[in-house]
Amino acid sequence: MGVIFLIRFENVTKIYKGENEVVALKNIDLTINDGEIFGIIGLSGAGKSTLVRCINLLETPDEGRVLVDGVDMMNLTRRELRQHRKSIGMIFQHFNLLSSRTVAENVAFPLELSGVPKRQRIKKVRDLLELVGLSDKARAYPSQLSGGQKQRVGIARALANDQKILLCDEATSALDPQTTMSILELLKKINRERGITVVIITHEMHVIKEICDRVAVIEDGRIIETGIVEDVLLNPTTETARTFLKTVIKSEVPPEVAARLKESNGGELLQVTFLGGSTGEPIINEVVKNFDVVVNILYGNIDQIHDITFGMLVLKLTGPQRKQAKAFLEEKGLKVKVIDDV
Amino acid sequence: MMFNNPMIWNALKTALLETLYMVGVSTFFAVLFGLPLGILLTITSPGHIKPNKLINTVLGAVVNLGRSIPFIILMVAIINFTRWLVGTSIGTTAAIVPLSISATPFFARVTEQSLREVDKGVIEAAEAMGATTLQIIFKVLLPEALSSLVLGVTITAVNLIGYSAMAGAIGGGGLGDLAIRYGYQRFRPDIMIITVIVLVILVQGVQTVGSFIANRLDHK
Ligand SMILES: Nc1ncnc2c1ncn2[C@@H]1O[C@H](COP(=O)(O)OP(=O)(O)OP(=O)(O)O)[C@@H](O)[C@H]1O
Ligand SMILES: [Mg+2]
Repeated sequence: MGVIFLIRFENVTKIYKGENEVVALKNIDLTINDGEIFGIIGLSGAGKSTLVRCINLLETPDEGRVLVDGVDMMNLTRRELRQHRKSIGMIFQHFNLLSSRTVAENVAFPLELSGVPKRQRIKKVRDLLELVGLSDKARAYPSQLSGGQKQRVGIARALANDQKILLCDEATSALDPQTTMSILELLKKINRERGITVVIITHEMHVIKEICDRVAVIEDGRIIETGIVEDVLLNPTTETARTFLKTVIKSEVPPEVAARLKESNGGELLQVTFLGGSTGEPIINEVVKNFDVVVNILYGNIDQIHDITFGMLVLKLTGPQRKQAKAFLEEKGLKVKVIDDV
Repeated sequence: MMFNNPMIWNALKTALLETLYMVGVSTFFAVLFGLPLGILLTITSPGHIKPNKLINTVLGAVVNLGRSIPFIILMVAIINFTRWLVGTSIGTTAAIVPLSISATPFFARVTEQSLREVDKGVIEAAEAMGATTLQIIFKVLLPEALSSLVLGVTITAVNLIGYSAMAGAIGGGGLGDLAIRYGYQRFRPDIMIITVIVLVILVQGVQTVGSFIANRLDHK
């Protein structure tokens, strides 16, 4: 049968009724595959949390179906729903740990709910704390931990029942960049080693870029773009996706540099964007070797998503064979734009 | 002249024990009945784990009614009930009935207030983990609010010390009774003063112990 979907939204609509009705989700169709890290990105109020909360029915859709592991969540009795929720772990922006319990007791909490005997609980908790690197904090209370450590407890807790799915609602938004990276690494490791499907919602593109396999862009309750991270990042088709993109890929010349470029007269300014296998360097080398031109690199920016390199260079070309050089660059698959006005 | 009069010391000791008895037992009943009421008031409120408008409104109204009747009136109003329940309408045991009844709605509100302070996100996390309503009450709400609940019990006990003195004044025994009988009716201001001092120490003591325990339980 091959890989099948693990989570599927079919035409899901969610409306918050109240004084002024909010249509939080509009006809969402979305498929999340078994074993992948799926990212959902959108601006504040776009409907990200609502979407992810429809997976474990913390919010109930008004229309459509949500299938998890083949089960229509909305057809379950309350008791069955509770049972299914135990197989879906969730972590939160503000961690939501029990302040009255120690780290170990927090991790043991879902095991207690499931009636796991004490001796097994102790062993399980020990393993989980080791997994998240907090063995030495077992007896500490959450108030004694840093944000990153709290989220590690949250992750350990969310995996205690051997969950197959981990939902992350802005799990790194309250953390500094370095801690964010370490939590993302941990999520990646869990995904790899345990085969857990991870759904991440965030408003930060670099989170998506760092660990997601596929991504959906959500705006005003609609999925406006979805696909493999490389595709969406590098060939965005919507304005919103492009805006997010700018936060991770600096494809624009920063103003300070632009000001300097203006002063340098003579020659021709080119903005060269490259993507994929070949990086800029050797090609430029070839340009200089094969054509009668002088190349000056004025500004550059190179980044990587998974194993795809991409970036942008601003070059100043002087010399008689400028035109041929330009053609050569384009031939090599680079996007070349003449900028007379930076 | 009072300091070498053993009779007065004995009276004071008896009165203190009576007060402790009244306050202790009625605090116990206030918690016994008020806690479940407070839990129900909380979880049935809109947006909580078991929203139920009817139950919430009715319970809320009953609690408000209980709290709006002045203690002294309540005591007189339920005299027949008290006699039926404990066989007498005077004395310390009889005083426990109105004291418990008046403290129960108070403690219910105190409980509600404490439970409402429990982080919504933590409750939601438990729901996401498949916790039942009872599990959320006993494993999340009560433990998370424990420190604050202890402070609530303390406030209730302190209030009851005051009310018990009032009950004492109309034949209930205890420190209030002593103060009125000796201090007022027999013109013994020294006894009045020493009674007040004992009451002050009692209140301070209860509050200090309560705050201490609450602090120890607070891991926020
Ligand atoms: N319980 C609720 N009642 C009414 N409206 C709600 C409720 N929860 C969310 N909304 C509205 O639904 C829309 C989507 O909210 P949601 O929380 O899903 O957005 P989000 O993408 O997670 O935003 P953020 O990044 O700020 O967390 C918003 O307009 C929000 O105001
Ligand atoms: Mg959100």
